[in-house]
Amino acid sequence: MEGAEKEFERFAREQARSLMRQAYLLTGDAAEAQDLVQETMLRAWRSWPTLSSYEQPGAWCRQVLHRLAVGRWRKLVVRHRHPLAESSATPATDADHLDVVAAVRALRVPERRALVLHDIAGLSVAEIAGEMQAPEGTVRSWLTRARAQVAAQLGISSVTTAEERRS
Amino acid sequence: MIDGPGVRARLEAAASDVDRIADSMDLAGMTRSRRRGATALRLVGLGALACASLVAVVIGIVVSGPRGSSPPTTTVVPGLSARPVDLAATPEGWTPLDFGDVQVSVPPNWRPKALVFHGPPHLTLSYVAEGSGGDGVTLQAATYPSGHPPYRLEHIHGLAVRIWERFRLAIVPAAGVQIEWSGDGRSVLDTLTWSPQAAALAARTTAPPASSWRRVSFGGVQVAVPESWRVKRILGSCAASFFVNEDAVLLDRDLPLKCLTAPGLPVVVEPRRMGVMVNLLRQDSALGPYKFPTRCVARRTSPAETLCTARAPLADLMLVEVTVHGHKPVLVAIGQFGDGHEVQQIYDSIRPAP
Repeated sequence: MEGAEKEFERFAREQARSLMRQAYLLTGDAAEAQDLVQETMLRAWRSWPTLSSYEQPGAWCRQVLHRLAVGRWRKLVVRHRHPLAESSATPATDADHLDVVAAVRALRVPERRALVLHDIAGLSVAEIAGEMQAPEGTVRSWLTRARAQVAAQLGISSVTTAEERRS
Repeated sequence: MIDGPGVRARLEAAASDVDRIADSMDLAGMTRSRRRGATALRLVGLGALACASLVAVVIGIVVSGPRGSSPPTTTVVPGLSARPVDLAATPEGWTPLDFGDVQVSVPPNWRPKALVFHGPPHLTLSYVAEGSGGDGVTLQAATYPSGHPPYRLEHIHGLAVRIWERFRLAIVPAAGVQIEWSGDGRSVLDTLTWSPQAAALAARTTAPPASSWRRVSFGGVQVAVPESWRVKRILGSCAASFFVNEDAVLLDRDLPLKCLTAPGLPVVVEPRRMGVMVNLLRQDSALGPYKFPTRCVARRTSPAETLCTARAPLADLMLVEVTVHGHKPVLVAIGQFGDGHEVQQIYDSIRPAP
């Protein structure tokens, strides 16, 4: 049992930053993100006997995290009307970062998820297609649109990677 | 497609703001909690508050002397590593007003009062202080001005502040608070600093209270306070009757927490209160539209308890909902005062009653 705990603790430490970053950009709210990560990790620990034998337990956590995030969005739709009023726990000290988070939050759910998986989790288009169960061409299109929309909101130019241009 | 320095770098920079939160999360602690049979980390609703055209009656409650007790196994606090109250930000004789994670100070002749009114869609609480001749300042949960026009970014005592001079409006994004002023109220903005609550909740290791402090138990919760503080039981009622405060316990000075009465009705508050109020929460319809948002700005967990600090700020009070497993949630209101050190010690001392 002790061995499993140590193994899980190491796994949790490795995953925490990446999951927290993803959750933060998915929700736009640090407290919400923290909740999601903790809930995800709690579920991971409960499933650890099985999960530890997976080739990529991190992918399992991402799936759970994104599912939980979508569940919460549905409940919190009204918050979108008053984003800052309901986001008092934001840790940002740089006002520009808040604009970035707000721009990501304005994206449609699949585009937001694809962008976060690609730019924050570091997944390839093929891996995102696998996780989101969508054709690679669709993922490329989501990424291009998402990046263009965020760039427009921030008043900067967008970048499309070589991988995304391949279609 | 367009190329340029772009979105990915901006996303990574923004996302890295939460790295410190991730690093402070004791995710390994949940293995310990589970082994001891703890239930999952959970968010509990914070209903809240109000209270008291108070009739305080000193009666006995469970008070025990100082004794050792093991600290909670887990501390989970979002936020920055250091959020100190800059005591020098308050000019001599001025009165600090605390609202959630921030504090401003007003001239001595200004009169502070709290106002409550309906959203829509949410209940909104404002903390207002007025001087003579139209000078005044209002603190409330932040909302962007219509159209989100350009703002000027200023750093005041370590806090990034967006300022719209034309609208006499400033927003502190890190605290989710906006400050509006009228007349000479602009000078109040220069006194902005973190509040004792922010200092108390900053990421850190929990500190045990001084051995001389007394421990008071009520509703399944134990809290430690300085030995000199008086202990009272409050028999209170609110004129608006949306919340009956009959089970409140007040420590130290009379906590001048007034009823949050009818929408729009001004309520005078006395700033810089010390004290702690422990209050059995009523999670029923009586709170109605006065329920505050239910998510936590900070949470502490142990196998036996969950502490959730209220997201909705209340003038000069830090609100913590405490759920001791097997008991009803209890609201602990801690007066914001000083540099946050004692507030932090009181917060850290909260635990299940023996």
